[in-house]
Amino acid sequence: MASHGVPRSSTTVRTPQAIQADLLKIEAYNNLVSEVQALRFPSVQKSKHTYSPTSLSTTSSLLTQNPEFNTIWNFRRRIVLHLLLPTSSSSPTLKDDNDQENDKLSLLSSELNFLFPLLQKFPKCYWIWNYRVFILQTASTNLSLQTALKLWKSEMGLVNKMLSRDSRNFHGWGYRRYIVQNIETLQKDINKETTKEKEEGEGEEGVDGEEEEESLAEQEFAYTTTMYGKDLSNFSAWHNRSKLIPRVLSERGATIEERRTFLDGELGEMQTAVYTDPYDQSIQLYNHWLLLESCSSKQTTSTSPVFSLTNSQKLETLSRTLEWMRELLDEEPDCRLLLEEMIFVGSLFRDLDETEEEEDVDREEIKRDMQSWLEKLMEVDPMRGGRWREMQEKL
Amino acid sequence: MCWVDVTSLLDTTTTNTPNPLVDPSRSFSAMNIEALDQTVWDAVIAGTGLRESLLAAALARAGKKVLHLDQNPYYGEEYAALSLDELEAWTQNVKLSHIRSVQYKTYPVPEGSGLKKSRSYTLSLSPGLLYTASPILSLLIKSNLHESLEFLKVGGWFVYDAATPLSDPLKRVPNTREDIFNDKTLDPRTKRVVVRALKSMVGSEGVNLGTAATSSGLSLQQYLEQPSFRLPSSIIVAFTSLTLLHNLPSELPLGEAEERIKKHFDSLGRFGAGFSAVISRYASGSELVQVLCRAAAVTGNAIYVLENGIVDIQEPGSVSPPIQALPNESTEQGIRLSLKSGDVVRTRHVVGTASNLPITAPADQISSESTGYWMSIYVVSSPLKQIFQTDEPPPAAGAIIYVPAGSIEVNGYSNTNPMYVVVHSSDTGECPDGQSILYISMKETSSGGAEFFDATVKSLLQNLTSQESGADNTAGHILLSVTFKTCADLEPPDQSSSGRVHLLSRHVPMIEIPDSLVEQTMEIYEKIVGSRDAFLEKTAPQEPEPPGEKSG
Amino acid sequence: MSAPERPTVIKALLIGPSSSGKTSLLKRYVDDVFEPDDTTTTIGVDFREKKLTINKKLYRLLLHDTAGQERFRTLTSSYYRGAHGILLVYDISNRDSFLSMPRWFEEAERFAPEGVIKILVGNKTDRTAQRAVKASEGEELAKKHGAIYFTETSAKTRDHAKEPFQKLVDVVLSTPGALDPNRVVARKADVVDVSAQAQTQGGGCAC
Repeated sequence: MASHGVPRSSTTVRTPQAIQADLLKIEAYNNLVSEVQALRFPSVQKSKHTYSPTSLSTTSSLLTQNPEFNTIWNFRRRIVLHLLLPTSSSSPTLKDDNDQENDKLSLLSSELNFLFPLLQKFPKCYWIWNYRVFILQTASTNLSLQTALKLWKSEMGLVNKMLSRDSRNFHGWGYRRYIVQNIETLQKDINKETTKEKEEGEGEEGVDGEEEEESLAEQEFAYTTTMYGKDLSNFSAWHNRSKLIPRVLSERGATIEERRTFLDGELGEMQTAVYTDPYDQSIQLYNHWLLLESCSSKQTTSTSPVFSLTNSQKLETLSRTLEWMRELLDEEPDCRLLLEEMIFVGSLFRDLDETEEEEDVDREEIKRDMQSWLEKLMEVDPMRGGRWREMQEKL
Repeated sequence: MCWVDVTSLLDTTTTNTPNPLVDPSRSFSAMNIEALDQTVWDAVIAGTGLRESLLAAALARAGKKVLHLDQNPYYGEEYAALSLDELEAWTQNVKLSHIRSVQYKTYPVPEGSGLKKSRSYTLSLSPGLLYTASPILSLLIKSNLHESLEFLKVGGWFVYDAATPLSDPLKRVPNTREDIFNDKTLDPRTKRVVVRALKSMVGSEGVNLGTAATSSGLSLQQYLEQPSFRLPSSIIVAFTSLTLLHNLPSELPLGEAEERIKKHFDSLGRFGAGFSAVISRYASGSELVQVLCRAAAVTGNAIYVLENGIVDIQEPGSVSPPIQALPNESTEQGIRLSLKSGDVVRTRHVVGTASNLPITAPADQISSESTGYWMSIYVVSSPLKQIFQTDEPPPAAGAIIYVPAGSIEVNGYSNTNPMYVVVHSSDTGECPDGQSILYISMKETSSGGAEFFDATVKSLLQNLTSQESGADNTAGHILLSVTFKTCADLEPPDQSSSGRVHLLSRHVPMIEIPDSLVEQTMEIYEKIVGSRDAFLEKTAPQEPEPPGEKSG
Repeated sequence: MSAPERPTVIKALLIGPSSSGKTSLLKRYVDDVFEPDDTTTTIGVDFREKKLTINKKLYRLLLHDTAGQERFRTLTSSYYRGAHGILLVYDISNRDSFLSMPRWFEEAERFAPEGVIKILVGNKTDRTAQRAVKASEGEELAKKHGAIYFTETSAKTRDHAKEPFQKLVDVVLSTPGALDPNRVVARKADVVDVSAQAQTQGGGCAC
């Protein structure tokens, strides 16, 4: 985060030379603006249109200094779109498809490269991001599928860099999901095309036309593992993980047994994480989601259930969880988040139907424990005392 | 244990073979006498150690006229960096008062993998670690001197476990919750208490240690073994290694350990994730000294003279003038100094350590409270790549390996005290590519010490380089070692000033460059200048943008 | 439109005895003025900079002066670090000045990177009456110590004053490997960035 701990530039008194230098800069800037505006609105005498590489580079200079000048970004869009048209080629001789493709690719790539240092300098400027997305989308519609895919994949590299510098950047993760979506769509289209070519007997001799993996879910899932391994408090990583699990399991074609195993693995990992730091909200939230998704008496997701545990399996899972949470509570008796989660687990338990196998667990005992946990919560979190009291009454 | 003050041994003994350290052309002609004698200096500083150089730069930038001398033909004193030949010559003629029993040893090695030419080495006597939170760094940055320096990352911090042959002998010391989370050898409950102990020492979770605990006389080990923690010994050892203190965990005062550990965690993440310390390229301390001295010279207010020193100090009158904030120039006679070169100069202030000033200073006597340490520099023929691996750029050029007590055996005895091995890669410019430097330090015991160093290095080379695929695929070898004994005080003896003569306390470099050097320097600066404001600040106006030139 | 190019840095040093006019020569090249006083002109700055555009490429020529530390031969070894080129300057009207040059060559040999470009300069040609060193002697000395070029200059009259600098840049740029990325000056990627922008508080921030 650029704002934390970094000394802001102090408003020092400027020397006369500095003021002079600034005035020169301002003058140069204003000249540049006039130049660009002249390109946008050519006078009647100018018969040539102004959507040219020259005007592109003029807008570059201006936008480098002032990326917030939105209208100029729009002007640039028009220039780019114009330059992509087949008739805009300067040479009268017909270029073959490959050359045209390369020209387009080089234009769009250079646009992306132009944006990169700007993004480093102005990472939060929406106009730059919007323009970048525009270029990528334009690539999808103007280039061959394979070429466009390459661009999107390299965009993934950019996002990886961004997230490694600031792993909790909410926007970064959102952008990542957007890129993944686009890559998957393109890959799907490419595969469709390949299949079609195979069916129609087209495609080169000897080329297998293998289908590339369409879904990035598995890869993205592994990425969330890496990211929380680097920073347990990475809420976005946990959040993304929760979103990916249903897809991953269905893509693996996981049986109910396999899902159960997967769940146990996740719960075990969460036990370690919660033990490592029960005061961390992100960890507790993910654990909360896991338990809700798997052990709730009601169905929580609108699509097919992820884990399909039986009633007694749910009870068993919850009581196992309560067991280790109780032990942890011995170590951290005042941990508010832990107490809240334990009450949640207890309430999930109580929501489930009783079974015959329920010998070891005394529901009364859980109820008593929840009472005492709520008492403790009132002590530890008095600001929400009303809520805890209410819950006590409801027990 | 009380050693004789060795200031009388400062004269260079003449030998027939030319000493590579002495430059015969640097004799002083009549022209120079005139030069030094012209002004009444604001300060004459004897010795170009780190504090002295910092002081010179600060004074020069504050507009004071400084004459900066050094007995040696090189800069840096205890932080000097020497080529191989220079180092060998140094071992035969050691002038630093705190150093004893110096041994220079070369080792037989297979053809072609030996020492390279002397000049390709720049070796200092200590690793010169700088915590990122160190006031020295922030001072260098504030004064723009960091641009003349290149700082390299000290990456891994490890505990060495030679006893487990199958697994990795280097165990990374956990810095973060994530390190502990990912440690498969700890059960969940242990992870909890380790994180809790970590947070309590850093002060970010639960209760601080508080003064009651820190002044209770408990050792770090006792504290961490308490029922509320019950940390496994491997974790206690890991935390001990973060202190850079040479005591056994059971003898490590809690307060001091906590302070050091806090410093470590406070330094994490300041210039990048995962590391808490840096070193400057080209033998850390030495480079800092040279940059500071040049900064002083560049102001036009400081003159540098090597192979010279003060042999006599005569203060004006029988009574020392009271210390004034601003000296009255018209009546000022100044202190009269006789230099080794025969020059006589006058100055308002004199600064130096006892070994550089012709006075006997009781503070510099090595007292019975002093602790002896064995220290050693090893040059080995392996790049030890494994140690310098990092997940994130930049690459590491330094690493620390803590060797616990009882790890290394020699002649049936194992080391009573732990050892620190600070490793520098060739990226530091201190040795040729393909080699590395190891700085080892260990508290002295009655049963000796230095004999463990060879065994330790051999063990490290054995266990760490067997995985390296090289042309010959053999473990690295020891090429050279320089071993010596030093005497350090836990608390530096007080500085003192009598009138205008300011005595710096003896400084014995250990593993890190201590923060206290800044305070010691500023103390004297304040006595000379009158305040601490704008210490080391650049006073010259910025140069205007130079005109560009097109050609070709 | 490519990202703005970062200029290549060329580090050059001036060494030589005091009063050889090194500083005046530097001032003449950078500011095109003559200041005879040897000591005042580089006060306060670690180096002077000249921006150059050669064959459409940008360069920053950083010129370091001795800051008076040559007076008692106390240049630090760090002064020589990463230097691409060195100008060794003596005063043609002072024989002692010339006779000290072998020692300066030795020092450069000792501390400067291998392969550093050396140029020998005999300064103060305006002092024709007091000339004490023949040009041929300078030529010979240059050859003997591996200097790739020798010239005589006058900072005062501008006589060939810019030549040594221009020649230095030319040779550095045309010698393959002279601007080798392995050289320390260019290895910035390995270095920890301690500048103000890079600093953050320890630990992560919770936002």
